[in-house]
Amino acid sequence: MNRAPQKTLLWRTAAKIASRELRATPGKFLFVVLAVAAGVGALSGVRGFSMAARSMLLRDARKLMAADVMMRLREAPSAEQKATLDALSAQGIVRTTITETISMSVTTGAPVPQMVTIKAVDPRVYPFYGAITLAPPQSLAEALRADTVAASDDLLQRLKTGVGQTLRLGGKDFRIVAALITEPDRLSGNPMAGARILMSRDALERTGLIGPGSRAQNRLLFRLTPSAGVEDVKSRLQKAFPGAQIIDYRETDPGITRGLDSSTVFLSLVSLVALIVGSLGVAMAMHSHMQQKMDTIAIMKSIGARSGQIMRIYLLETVWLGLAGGVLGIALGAAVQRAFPVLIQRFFDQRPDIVWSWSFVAQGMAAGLASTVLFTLPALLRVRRVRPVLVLRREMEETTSASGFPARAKSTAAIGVPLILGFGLIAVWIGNSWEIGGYFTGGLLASLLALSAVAWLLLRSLRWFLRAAPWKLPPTLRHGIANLYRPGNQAQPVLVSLGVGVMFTLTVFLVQRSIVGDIVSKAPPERPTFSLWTFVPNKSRASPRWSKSRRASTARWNSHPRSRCALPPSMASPSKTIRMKT
Amino acid sequence: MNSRPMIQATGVTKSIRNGAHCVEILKGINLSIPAGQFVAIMGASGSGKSTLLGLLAGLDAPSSGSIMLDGEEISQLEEDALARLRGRKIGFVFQSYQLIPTLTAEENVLLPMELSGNGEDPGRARELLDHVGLAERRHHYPVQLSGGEQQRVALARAFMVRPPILMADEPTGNLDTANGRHVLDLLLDLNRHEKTTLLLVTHDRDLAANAGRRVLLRDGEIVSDELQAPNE
Ligand SMILES: Nc1ncnc2c1ncn2[C@@H]1O[C@H](COP(=O)(O)OP(=O)(O)OP(=O)(O)O)[C@@H](O)[C@H]1O
Ligand SMILES: [Mg+2]
Repeated sequence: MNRAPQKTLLWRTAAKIASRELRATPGKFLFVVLAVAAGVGALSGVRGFSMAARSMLLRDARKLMAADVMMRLREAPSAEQKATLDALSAQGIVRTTITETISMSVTTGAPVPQMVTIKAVDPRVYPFYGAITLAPPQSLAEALRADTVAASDDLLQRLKTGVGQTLRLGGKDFRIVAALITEPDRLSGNPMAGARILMSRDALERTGLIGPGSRAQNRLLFRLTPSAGVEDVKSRLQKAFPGAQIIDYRETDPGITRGLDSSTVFLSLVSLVALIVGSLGVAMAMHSHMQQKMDTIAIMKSIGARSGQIMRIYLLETVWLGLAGGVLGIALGAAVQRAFPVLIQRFFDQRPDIVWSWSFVAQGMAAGLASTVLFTLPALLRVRRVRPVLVLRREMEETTSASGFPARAKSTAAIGVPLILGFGLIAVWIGNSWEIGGYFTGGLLASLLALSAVAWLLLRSLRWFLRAAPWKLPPTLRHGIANLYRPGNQAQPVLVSLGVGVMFTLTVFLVQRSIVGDIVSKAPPERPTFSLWTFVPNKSRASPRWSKSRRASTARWNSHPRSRCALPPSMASPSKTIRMKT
Repeated sequence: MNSRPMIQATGVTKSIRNGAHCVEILKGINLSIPAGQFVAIMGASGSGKSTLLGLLAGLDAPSSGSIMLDGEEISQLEEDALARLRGRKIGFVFQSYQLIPTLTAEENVLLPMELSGNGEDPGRARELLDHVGLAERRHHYPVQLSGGEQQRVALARAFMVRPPILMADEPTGNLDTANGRHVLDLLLDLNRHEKTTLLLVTHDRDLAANAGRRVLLRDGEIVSDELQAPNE
């Protein structure tokens, strides 16, 4: 007699029972499956989109930089560095500089100044790759002269102006010749969303905004010739400009991917929380389902079934529920992936392709299954505690619980340790870092313990209250409360999972806030910093009313030379002098 | 005849903690049952019959004493080993049938064999179902069968693995007289045919009259144990 066919035979019977049990109660698990699907969907959607975006960044790297090689510079090149650049030019490598800075702009129609990001380019050569779209359509070289600009639609709206009108920048008038629709290298520039002005370098010169101490960001774009190897050019630049960020078309811009990566990790962890809540739901539904199947379990035991054999039935049910959640979730994830580019369209000119990656499907399914099975494990293991002697009793009793503290602690640890470990591995995988996974799991463990303790205390004090209450409670209330701490009651786990849900919602909120704070405070120094101060008229001392600043403290502010944003005469009433550090 | 008893209980007690006080349900049971014997266990309700049966079958552990089944000490065995032993050695018939609701009659009958890891023998299952008159109903689920029919399926299941011992706890307790008689006749017939040792718990003197030995329990103690000529 070989054992293998026996095993499949039993699995077959287990599958029969499992499928029939699930089919008999289709509604019972619907919501928990949907909850798992939401988690898996969010997870695979986020990761799928992230991958698609990354591959787009790589595929369109030239377009996104508008160049073969890009270098970010804070200071003007020294004579030595200029020599290197000239040597490259002599080789036929075309170079152009893009300057971005922030200023205020007004029109006669809209006296309240608007903050704008100014981007100055050389319209004869820029962009090396991709194209600027203007409305009405026209070539960049025609459009951008020393006294003209193109402005983004939202700016035109805010300034209550339009193409053909003029706006003021740095005290000079500029004619708006076109609306700026798209820029290929939008993501490589200033990360600030909002109003944009595109102008020629001559026009920027005219504004007088760029002077010593102004914090403009410069990008040098290079177009290679077939004879100039990218590696060679890059290494020469690196030698001449140590510390400068130099990116070529074969890699993604770390300035963009850093943001993408941290948002991916953050959103993945949020999705994981959704998955946890869904898995907890499956576990609890399974627990109550098995509670109803105790007689079946006892019968099987009485006719010779070992606990492990019976567990197959409920393991199969759990796996199927997890799979159902996973499949639904993958479908949902595909929808999320499709929706994402629409949501962030303003940053991405070109939509990333929808990539259907089997590895992400597999990963989403694996995460859904693993967390469902992990959380259901304690319920599954309760099969061992169902006493076969139940078959002799007409009335059904509760399962025995392991008695005594050491035994209970041991059995809790036997379930809890692998659960936490397994979960930790999922978190490490999703966070793509041992540290993040560790923190996440530690946080989960700590909060589970804290919530259990709170739930236990709550139930204990309720019991004490019921015993010690000097007055008589109505019998229905008394029974209702007594039911909460009856052995085998699910009040404690229900409280805990409710708590997990609430707590994580709160955590997500707080973390999201701190991530935004983090992005603001950790932005690379070459990004412009600005401060706005309002000076109240007729007072000799300036009083700061409102300040938005990343790093600029008053001290630093004072130590920096600042340019003054001159306003048109109509605006120059002393009530609103706005000083800018640009 | 084999000299070794099929079932041997020595000094078996069972007490149950009920809140603060301890209730002794069985107080020192000594019982030795040779292979092939048909024993009726009788007694008033609450005298401990089911509890004793549960202990002898290894469904529950005694508080003290020893129980040997077919020469094997079972009171020290752990869960899984006990389950294996039950699967090999004991067929059960319960008052409330205890079929698996999600399996058909035939699948219920086949289950003990599958669980014991001895493959499936659909021929034997069909033969047994045929014997209890349910060949036509073998693809029906328990809910589609009457009480008497369910108990006949349970009977077929109990004999599936040819266990040396059959234990029945009020097998006709939920049935009317005619159905009860039919089930009992089948039980005795199969028992004769398969030569099992039979332990039958019953209130019913008439049922007990079929047994070769009658054990009477009162308040957890054996108060009489007599051999009798079975009336056939
Ligand atoms: N788990 C238990 N907890 C408390 N008391 C129990 C338990 N099991 C059995 N008893 C008690 O032990 C006694 C014997 O029970 P048992 O079921 O063995 O009686 P019985 O002879 O089978 O009765 P019946 O003919 O009604 O089936 C009863 O008084 C019963 O209340
Ligand atoms: Mg009984």
